[in-house]
Amino acid sequence: MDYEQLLENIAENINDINFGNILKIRKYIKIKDTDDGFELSQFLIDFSHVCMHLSCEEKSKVYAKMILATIQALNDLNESGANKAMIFDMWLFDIGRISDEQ
Amino acid sequence: MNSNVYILVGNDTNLIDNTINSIVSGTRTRSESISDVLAIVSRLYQKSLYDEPVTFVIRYDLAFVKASESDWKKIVENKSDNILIFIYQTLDKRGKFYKFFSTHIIECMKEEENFTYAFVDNFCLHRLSSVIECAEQVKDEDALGTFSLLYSKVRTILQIQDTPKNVNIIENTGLTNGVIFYNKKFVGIYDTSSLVNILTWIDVLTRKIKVGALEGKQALLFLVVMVF
Repeated sequence: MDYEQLLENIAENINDINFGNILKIRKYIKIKDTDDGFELSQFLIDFSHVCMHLSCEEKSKVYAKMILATIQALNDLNESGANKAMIFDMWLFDIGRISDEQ
Repeated sequence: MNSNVYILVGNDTNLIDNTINSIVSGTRTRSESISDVLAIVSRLYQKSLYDEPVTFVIRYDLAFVKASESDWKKIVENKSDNILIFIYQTLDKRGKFYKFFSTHIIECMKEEENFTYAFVDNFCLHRLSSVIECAEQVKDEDALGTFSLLYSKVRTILQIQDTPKNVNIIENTGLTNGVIFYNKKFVGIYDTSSLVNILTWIDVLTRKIKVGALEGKQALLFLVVMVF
């Protein structure tokens, strides 16, 4: 699965994934310097770009809400002593809870 | 390596004294305190005047720690019946000295009761009175570590619990068999949404501690109140 496809898959399918499995997405992210994976801030920025495209294509509020949650996570990363792993998990939970009805 | 060399490292003076006593009585030697082992190297190679081996107790001889490897070899290669007991409060585990004498080292650390692990286990087992008792004993400065441990445990429980019954947990979660086995007793105590809620609260409270809005212990008790 390439990078863009991964981002799209997350945006389009995260509502259907249970919370236990949502946490598995962390394996794609570089949390510690020794980890393999994508750099977290860049991943979130790219995710919001993907959401922007999907939002234009599908006219769904879900993607706009996902962008807001992603901006919040990016802000949280700038806090001093930010815990990347926790911020990423919380972001996954946040976007996983987003639905059209909210 | 000569087994007549012992290095006791730690802060438990009772344990250190008892260890010395049992070595001295077990080897039927007489003990003698010295401060500089390199000053008596020649005596180690001599027979005692009374034909009675000696247990030399050497306290905090830091010069010996900094000595050369050839000096250390002189000590461990001593084949006399004399016994050497070195005592240090701490030693750098990454240092050459520690590595060179690693097989001679006996840790004599005072065990401190660890309320962090007790808090985490009791929390995950949903034992209200025990968890409050432990939260009150955890020091403020240990609260972030306690939250971090609890977070990782709750996350593990969530991953195990949320794996469908017909799916292999190891393959699905990437957790090891040991971790899954150990954490199985915590599975099913909270429902999935409560576990997610706990993780969210830990995230919030950790930030509050970091910005100084909450004291560590206060935050732990806050979590208990919010979840139980």
